Amino acid sequence: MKGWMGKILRVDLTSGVLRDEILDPVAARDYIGGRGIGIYYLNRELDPACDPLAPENLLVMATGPLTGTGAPTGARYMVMTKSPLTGAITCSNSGGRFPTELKRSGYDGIILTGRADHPVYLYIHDGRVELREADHLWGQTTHEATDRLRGETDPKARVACIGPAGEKLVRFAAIMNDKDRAAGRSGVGAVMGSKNLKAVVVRGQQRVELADPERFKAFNTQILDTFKAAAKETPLGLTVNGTAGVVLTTQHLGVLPTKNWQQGTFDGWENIHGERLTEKYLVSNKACYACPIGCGRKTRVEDPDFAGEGEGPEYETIYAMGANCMIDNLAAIIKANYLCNELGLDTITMGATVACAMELVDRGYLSEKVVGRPLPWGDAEALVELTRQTGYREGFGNRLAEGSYRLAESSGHPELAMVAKKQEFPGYEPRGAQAMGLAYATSPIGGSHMRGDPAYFELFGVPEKVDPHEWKGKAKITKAYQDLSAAIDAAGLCIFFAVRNLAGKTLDVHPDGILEYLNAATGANYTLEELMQASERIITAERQFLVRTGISRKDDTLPRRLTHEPMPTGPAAGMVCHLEEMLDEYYEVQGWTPDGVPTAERLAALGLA
Amino acid sequence: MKVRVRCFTGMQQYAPGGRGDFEMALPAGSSARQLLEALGVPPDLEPFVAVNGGKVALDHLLQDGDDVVMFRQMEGG
Repeated sequence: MKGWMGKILRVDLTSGVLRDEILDPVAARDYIGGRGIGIYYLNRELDPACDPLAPENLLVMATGPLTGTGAPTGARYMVMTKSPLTGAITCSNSGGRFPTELKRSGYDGIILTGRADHPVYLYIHDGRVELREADHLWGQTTHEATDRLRGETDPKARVACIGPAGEKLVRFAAIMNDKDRAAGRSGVGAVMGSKNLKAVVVRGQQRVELADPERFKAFNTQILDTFKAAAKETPLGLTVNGTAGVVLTTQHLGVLPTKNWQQGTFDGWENIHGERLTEKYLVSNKACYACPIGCGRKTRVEDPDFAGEGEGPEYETIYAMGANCMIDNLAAIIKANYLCNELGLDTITMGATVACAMELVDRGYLSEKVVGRPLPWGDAEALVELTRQTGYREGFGNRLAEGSYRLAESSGHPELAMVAKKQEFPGYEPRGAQAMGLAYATSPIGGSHMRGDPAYFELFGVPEKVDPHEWKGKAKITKAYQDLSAAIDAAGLCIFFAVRNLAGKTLDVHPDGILEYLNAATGANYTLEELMQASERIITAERQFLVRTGISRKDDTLPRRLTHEPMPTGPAAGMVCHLEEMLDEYYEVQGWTPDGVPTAERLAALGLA
Repeated sequence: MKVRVRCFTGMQQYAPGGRGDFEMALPAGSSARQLLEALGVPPDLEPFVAVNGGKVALDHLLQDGDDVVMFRQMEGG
């Protein structure tokens, strides 16, 4: 096979048996890779009723055929499993250098199951695979463990590992790779911790072979030239201020979630937006493998209360830990971000759960005695301390470690958890960006912007401007972006490059640039129709898995706050999210029943019957 | 009339003296587009313009004392 390495590593942590398996070429073609290969295996092998933290749960780490090829942003891998946060499927994506190294070690992916009887790590190098003792690493932060592992294996090895949060089964623990890149969402790190697996260490020197290197190179040159010309004309964007630059947009469209989603604008926005980050804390930007953008932020904080050095924050972190908690102290947000990286926590859920706790305290549903401290809106020091406690499940951190839904429910007010399928939202308010509400409610992993991000249309006007307040017609747009994200996630690319540079430029977003890269890399000769059908197959297969776990329309919900309480102030004042109306339209365009179940005809058409 | 103008990402270069936060005198009834013209912003640039906290179309008419924020749009998440 070309593009694909053609091989999957099977790891049974209970027995310690490791074996290579051929990547089924038909499955590779039909599901592409990454997220697609993940759902292919989960649907075939995982009991939908499985306890996410039981040994039987599968943890799939999968690259795509463009990972490591040199295609711009082809640096991604996907972690897929059943989530301990949501009980649904999850697919959490990360870049950096680890995914390319994994592929160069000879594998498209790893499928892990079982539970080791003591801490271990997996080491793949020079065609060899071994499980090694990790007792001496248990309890270490992700940074400490990464340094130690590179020291005892190969200084050029790449490491994906969990921190104390994953070991202690925090429901939103991340798997961190290259120290500061995160497969952050839905508790994939807790699943790894439940298997007693501290780390995956890879060192690979194989080349990713291309089916038609000349064609690949010619297209790469063309795309990069286009990108460079555009960047020269508009030398801004993600390189200069990172994703944090988005605060300017969301604030002035009234969709910056603030005070646990009670409002859509934040008075302290000028202290937390991207330019402040660049001026005061940025050391340099940082790029993943083969990325011409470099949105990563290497930062340093000298304020003695929050001193540190590391990476971040991104926009989502600034929303969740900043505006959503009414915190305008950027140094504290950065410090909490560092702690999340080191302890292995998802910054979105961490910040959103603190915001939920702040509202519960504010309304008298949670006492300061239980929290162990006062917890007023805007308390920067509390954010940092509670993040640390959560990573170790200490004190009140043990409650926060369950995520906002379980915290709010156990306090008698589940309606105050700002979640879909028990997962906290990213930072775009559906009352002022209607399609985002539909995307959150129907995302297979719960509240997420990465499994379909119609904000590109509604907020950024990419590729075309649409009215963010209009709900009619948004189902089609939402499906188009969900399908596009499936192609990006399966190919091994990053949304930041692919949406703007490799997708069709109409409201019927289609992955024509991805198609050319895929065909040059794999020789699979996909037609555009076949590629778009592969995206639909991935989305529908994920839904098929969710339906087997009992999920249907009743679970495709948003909190009442967003659907019934008009936005009180700002540019989106008076708006609610028209989810129910959009859902009817959405199921129809998906070919699902009004209850959100794929029809037999739809399944048959996609080869899923 | 006078309006307060704050220039962010990609717009600072059009601020008089390079100061991103300034007051600007304009003829009564001026639109946001006329403010951009007065600052020498190329007509095809079409930055994001917000008045008193919310995005406006460029034909929006400004009022005395308005608070104007302008920047070049970025994307991310």
